Amino acid sequence: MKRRTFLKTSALAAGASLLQSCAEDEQYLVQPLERQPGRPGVSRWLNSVCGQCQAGCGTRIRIVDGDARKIEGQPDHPINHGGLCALGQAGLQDHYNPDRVRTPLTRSGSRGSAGPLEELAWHDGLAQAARAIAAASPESLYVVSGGRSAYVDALLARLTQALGAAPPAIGQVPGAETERAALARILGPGRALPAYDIAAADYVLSIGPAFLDRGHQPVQGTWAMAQVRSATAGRRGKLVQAEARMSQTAAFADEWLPIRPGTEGVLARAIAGALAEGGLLREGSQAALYSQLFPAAAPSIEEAAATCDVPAPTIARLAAELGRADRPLVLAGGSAALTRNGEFSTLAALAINLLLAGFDREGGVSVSEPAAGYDFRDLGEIEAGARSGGTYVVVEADPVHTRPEGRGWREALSAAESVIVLGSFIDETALYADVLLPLHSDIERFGAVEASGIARPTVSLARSAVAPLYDTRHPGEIVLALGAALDQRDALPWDSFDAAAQAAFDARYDDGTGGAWSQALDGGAFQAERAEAVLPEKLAAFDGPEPPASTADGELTLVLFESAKYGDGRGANKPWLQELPDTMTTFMWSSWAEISVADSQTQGIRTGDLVEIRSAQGKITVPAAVRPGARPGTVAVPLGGGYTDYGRYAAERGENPLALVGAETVAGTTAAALVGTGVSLRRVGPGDPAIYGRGLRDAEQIPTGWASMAKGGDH
Amino acid sequence: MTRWGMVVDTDRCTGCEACVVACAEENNVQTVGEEEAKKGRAMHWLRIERAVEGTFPEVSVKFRPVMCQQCGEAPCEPVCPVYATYHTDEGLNAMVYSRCVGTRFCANNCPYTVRTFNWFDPEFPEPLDRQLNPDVSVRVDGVMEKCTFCVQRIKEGQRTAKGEDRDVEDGDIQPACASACAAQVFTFGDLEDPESKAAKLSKSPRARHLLADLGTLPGVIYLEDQEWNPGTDVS
Repeated sequence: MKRRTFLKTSALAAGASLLQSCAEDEQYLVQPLERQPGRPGVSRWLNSVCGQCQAGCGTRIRIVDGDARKIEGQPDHPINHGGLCALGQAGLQDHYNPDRVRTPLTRSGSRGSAGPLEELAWHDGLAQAARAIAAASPESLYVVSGGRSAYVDALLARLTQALGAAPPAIGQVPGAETERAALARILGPGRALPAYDIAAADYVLSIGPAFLDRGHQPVQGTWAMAQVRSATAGRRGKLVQAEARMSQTAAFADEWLPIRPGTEGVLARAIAGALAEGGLLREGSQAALYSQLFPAAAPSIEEAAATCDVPAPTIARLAAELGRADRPLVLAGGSAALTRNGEFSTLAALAINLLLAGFDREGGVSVSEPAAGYDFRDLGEIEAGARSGGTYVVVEADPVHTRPEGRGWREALSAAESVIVLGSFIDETALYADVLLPLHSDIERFGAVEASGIARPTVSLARSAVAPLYDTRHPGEIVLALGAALDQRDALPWDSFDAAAQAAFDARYDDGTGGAWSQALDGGAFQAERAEAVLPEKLAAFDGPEPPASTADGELTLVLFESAKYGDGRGANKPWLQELPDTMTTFMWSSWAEISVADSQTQGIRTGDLVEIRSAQGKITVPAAVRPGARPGTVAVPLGGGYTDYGRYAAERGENPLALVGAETVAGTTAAALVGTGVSLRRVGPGDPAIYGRGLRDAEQIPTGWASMAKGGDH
Repeated sequence: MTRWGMVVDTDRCTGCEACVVACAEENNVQTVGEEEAKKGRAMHWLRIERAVEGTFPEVSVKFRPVMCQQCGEAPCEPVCPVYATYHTDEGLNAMVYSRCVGTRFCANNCPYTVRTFNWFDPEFPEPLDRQLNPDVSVRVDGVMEKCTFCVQRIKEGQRTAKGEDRDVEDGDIQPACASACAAQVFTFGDLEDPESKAAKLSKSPRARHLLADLGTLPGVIYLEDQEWNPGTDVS
């Protein structure tokens, strides 16, 4: 036998014997380590509920070797239909964030700074929290929730009621308080939100809401617009966006009306007038109700054009297009609800739907019932009251960062008797915490979210998808534990959050068989039938103030908005989102100020320059983004920058524009007026922001880029 | 033969960038931090481009997701001295990371500027490393990378079909960007299969190639924006 043949034969024989030994799993020489039930290296997908905002999208988590590796939307989920937004996709970096709080902490230094914090056992942390709540008088106990789960909030409401305290204050999407108030003026007392059937509409006029950027239901809105453009209603639909800032929604729209901020209501009234006068009312139009609501004559198109800075022929054409569409829909609120006269603007826009016979029809407006039937109040109600001392319980909310500086949260929490925070990170509010009780991440917890801003009541449910990484707990379990420690077992008799959530769910939706809960838990979601929006016989005239947006001469109007990647700031601690180029400006790792070409020329400002924005309340310095789509006379700044802590990815990045906003409210409500503050602008010097530079960006290149493919050519 | 391709309907793209995050999550794309990002070294395999036209108030913006176009005649392939980038028989411009020596010739030659280079080793502070997708190798410094059409998902789909003794069906395989997109902008499929949804859409009168006059024969086909016309039924 030759040497080479010998070697070959030996190798084959050795290989064959190894193959033999691998024939059965048990015979692996080295047994793989099993970290979790299931085969190593094999992925499983488990349902969960996204908690990055209040929308309640259903998610599914890819798990390999016990670790979550990917988040996607549940394909058949009634809210998100398989999609998910950037913030939701980045939920993994919430779960695996290196700066998550891993054990209960207590403060030994002064409030308002990061340290020193000491670790606590859960038993001691809960006992300290319970002692603080027990020591508080009911009238000075303030419970604040970020509104991530109606079922947790319902437990908080039970606890406050049992203690004789005011109901919890729920942080909401900006503009929501005003949208509720406006809807109540049409449908009568209640706290429902308007819900829009965008997917079935063929013509959508959005007066204010940047519903694709964020808002109540950003993913569903995106899905719905895809339906509108897919000709679901027979032909490709149209979206018209009336908004002062060119948001992503405005950029996506077929037509954008860069309206003067604060005048959205005047535009809406003029369109309504043109509909009535142009003979464009349809069968079922509630013209009588409309004129009861707004008895005064509508402004003429020319008057409105002068006030709103929208050409008169455009207003006339929009009215005609709305009147002739098969299923027209007008969206109200959003940025229009954030000016001082936001209630008027929101109501005027919403009421156009009366003329379009748009209530309770396919492709129209209906109501989103207040979730889970519990009592709550707006954050503004706490802010409006006199606060001295007081004990605060803050659950997954950061009012110090997300409320205007002029609302006094820093001062209130500094002077508080006790501050108890249930959260996952050292955010601006947690800097004031005496006790910080850390929470499970979205995918670790039993998810129970009742969506708002959707016509059919929808509950997303899921068991925990992965085991907790740290010594954390479910916020609902903590509330139950506090209830037990405070001797309130009668009000909170459940042993676990899922039992409490099931009781609340069954009370509302079960038909007696008990099947709905388990079906929803297995399937990811439950949907009830749509609540009817019953119009009253008669409406009271709108008596609210209609103050014009007023900024002093020479001042610019400040427009604050939630960007798709930061939201109210909750996205700022995720590196994927910090490095995500903002769609409109391509800024990364920073806040920015959107300035018009005209204003930039008068002040000699170029993109990237640092500018100081100053108001009566304060000042910030941020890099400028000069945008062709920015409205002259406005400065738009995204929320979500300027954390002093909130982890390594968020700390000391950008600035919080809420430092510029005082205590102004939307007239007639306690909602914060985030649009309309008068500011001055000054170039400070050159800046060095991170701006994404790649792309075939030159406009001249586009015609080449879009050169038609050769018909039938090889691709 | 299979030719994997993607149809991108720009008429539906809202610029939400969910796809960009989904891509980073699926493919272990590193974040480089603020200072490196300032130098143009952000690593995204997929970007949303915006074409801004007009002056205020007549300004219009169009969004367009741009990833590796998986060219049939790829300018990046012939310039690689070590065959790290090559053409698969399923039409993909594939990368063998372990062969790459970092000449960056491929990036220099890519007219779509979709290739990104690892100037440093990635950092995933504990426990962020536990989010990594075990099906995708983590690239080290000196290595070029780009969109693969989520080749690991293609392989998984093919393995699953084979295990079930059937052919891969249209729609079985979804890259991460397509899975994430609520607006259903992306349609992935076999362009050589005339019955696939992607192949049918690629014959649309709205179909365009990016920089078509370069003759790169991309596997990504864009469907141009539509105008709203109250009188036209486009279904």
